[in-house]
Amino acid sequence: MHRLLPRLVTDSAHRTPDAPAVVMDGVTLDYATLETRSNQFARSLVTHGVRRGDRVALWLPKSPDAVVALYGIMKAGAAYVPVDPTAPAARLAYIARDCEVAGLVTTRDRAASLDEAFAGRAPMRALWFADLDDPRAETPRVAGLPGVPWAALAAEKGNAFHSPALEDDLAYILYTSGSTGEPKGVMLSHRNCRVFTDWAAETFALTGKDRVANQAPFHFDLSTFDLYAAAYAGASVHPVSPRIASFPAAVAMRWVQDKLSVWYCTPSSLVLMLTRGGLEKHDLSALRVLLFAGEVFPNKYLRQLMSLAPNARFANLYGPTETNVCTWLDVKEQPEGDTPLPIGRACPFDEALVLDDQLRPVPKGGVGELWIRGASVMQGYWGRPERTALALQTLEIAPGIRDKAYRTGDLVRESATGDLEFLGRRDHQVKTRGYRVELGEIETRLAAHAAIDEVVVVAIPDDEITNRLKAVIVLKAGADVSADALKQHCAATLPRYMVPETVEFRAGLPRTSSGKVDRRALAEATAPKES
Amino acid sequence: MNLSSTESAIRTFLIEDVFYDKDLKDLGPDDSLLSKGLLDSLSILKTVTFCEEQFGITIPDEEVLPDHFESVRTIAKLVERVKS
Repeated sequence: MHRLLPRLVTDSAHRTPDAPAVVMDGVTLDYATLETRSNQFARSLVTHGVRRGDRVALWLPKSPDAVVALYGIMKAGAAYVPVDPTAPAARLAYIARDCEVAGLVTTRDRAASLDEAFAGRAPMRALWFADLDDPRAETPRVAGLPGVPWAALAAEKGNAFHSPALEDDLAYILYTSGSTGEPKGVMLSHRNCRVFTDWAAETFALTGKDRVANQAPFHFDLSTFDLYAAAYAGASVHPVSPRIASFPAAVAMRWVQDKLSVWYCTPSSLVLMLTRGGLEKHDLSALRVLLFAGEVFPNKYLRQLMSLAPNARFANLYGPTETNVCTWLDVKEQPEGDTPLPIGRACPFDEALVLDDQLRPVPKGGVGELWIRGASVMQGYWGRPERTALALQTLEIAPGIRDKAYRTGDLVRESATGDLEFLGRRDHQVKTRGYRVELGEIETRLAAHAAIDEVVVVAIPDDEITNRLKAVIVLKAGADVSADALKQHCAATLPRYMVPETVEFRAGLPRTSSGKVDRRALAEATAPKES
Repeated sequence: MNLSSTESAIRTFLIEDVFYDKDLKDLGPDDSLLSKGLLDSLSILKTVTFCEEQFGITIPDEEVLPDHFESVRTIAKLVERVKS
C-alpha cells in the first residue's frame, strides 16, 4: 500500500539508497540498509507468528536498531507499542498484557526484571534481544520463552517485503496517563499519522538535505514527526543518545556540531537548553525550522530563542496524543508581554470545533471546549469501549451532517484574528516536562498504600518544566511512613516523571465551601519541603 | 570502600535522595551511573544543586556533561576541580 508509514522508507531507499536515514552515536544507517534490515526483521516477526493486526511492544533504549524494529513491526502488519525504557518492568508487563502483545523487542539486561514482572505468564509468542549480535550467544529466557538474538535477522531475506497492512490498520499504540489509575492505549492508524507527518514535511519544506533532531522518546508522539517527516523527505533523523539525553549542555553541543536543521521539542527541553545548556554560546546558523508542542512556551524564553536563531522558522504545534497535531501557528514575530501564544488554527486535515456544555457552537470570542474532527483523530482506546465512547462522540457538525469528534478537555477561545487561544483544562490533567499526567493516576497509586488515609497530588507551576508535582498526604491514625517510602511505592509502577518530587504530610486537607478538596490552596501553599 | 570525604558525601546523597527507589547500598565509586540509565534530567539537576550547596561552589552549566557524571568518582573530581 502506498500510504503506509514504512512505505516512506521504501520510497526513499529507491530514490536515494545511499543517503543517511538514521545517524546516532557514530553509526549511520543509509536508506538502503534501513529498508533491508527492516524487511529482515518483518520476516523474522512473521517467522515467529506475528500477523497483521497484532501488537509488538518495544522496551529498549533508543538505538538505530530500535528504528529498524519499529519499521519492521509496521511492515509485518502489526502495530508497535513503545514503552518508556526507563519505566519499571511492572508497567511494561501491564501494557503488554493490556493489549496482548504478540512480540516484544528489548535488551538482554532487561530479561531478569521482565521475567520477574511477568511471573511465568507472558502474552507474547516471541521476544527479540536487539543487543545480541552473536547468533550463537545464549539468550536468557523470559517467562519460559527463549529470546531471538538480533543476529538471527541476518538469516532472513532483505528484499522487498509486501506488507499485508492497509492504511486504516493500527500503526502504533501510545499509552498515556489515565485518570482512573491505569494507563490507556491510544490507537493510531497509518493514515492518522501520515496526514500530519506528510503535511508537516511539505509545510516546513523538508528535503533530503535536512538533518532532523529527535529528542522525544518513541513512546511520545513528537517522535512521529522526527521519524516519518524525515523519511518522507529522505532526510536523516538523529536520535539523541540515551547517554547525553539528560544533559542539556551535551545535547545542545551535539546538535550544533551535527548541524541539525530541524528541531521539534517540548518547550521544557528547549528552556533547559537555554537556562542550563549554554545554548546562547553556540552558532545556530544551521537551524532552519524549530517546532515546539506539548505545553505553553514562556514568552521570555521564546523571545530569547528567536533572537539566537533569527533566520529559523518557528511554529507552535498543538494536539493531544489522540489527535497527534491538529492545530498550528506560524510564529512570525517575537511575542510581546506574557500572554501565551495562541495555538493557531486547525491543520488542513482536521477541523476545530469550540462547543459549550450542550455541544452547541460557542460564538466567536466566547470560551468553550475544543473538539477535533478529521483524519488525524485516533481510532479509540485499546480495550476500553466506554472510555472511547466518552472521548469520541458523534456530533452534528453542520445541519444534518454528523461525524465523530474527539473531546480534548481543553478550554479555548477564538480570537478576533481567528486563532484559538488555550485557556486551561477542564480536569486534573497537567503537563510536566512535556509529558501529560493525570493527577488521578498518581493519587490512585498512593491511595493504594496501607498507611494513607487521604491524598491529593497538585501541580506547582514552574518556569522551566511547566509543573512540579507535590503529593499532600493525610496518614491513617497511628500509621507512619516516610516520604521516600511513598516515592518508592510510586516508582514501582509509575514512570519517573510521575513520581511526586515532594511529599507533604498534613493532619487534614483544606476544603472549599462546597466540601471539595481545595486544590488551589494546596498548590499555592509553600509548606516546608520534605523530600 | 576507600572514599574521600567528597566522594562519600556524594555517594550518600545519591543513595538516599536520588536512588531512593533502588537498592544501591553497594554502589561503588566507579560504578557507572549512566550506562544503567540511573540518572534522569531531574536527578542531575538535584545532584548539581546538592554539590553546590554542600561544597559552596558554582558548577558552570557547560561542565554538566555525561563524562563528569559517569560515577561518584568523576562527580567528586569535578567538585574538586571547581573548588580549586
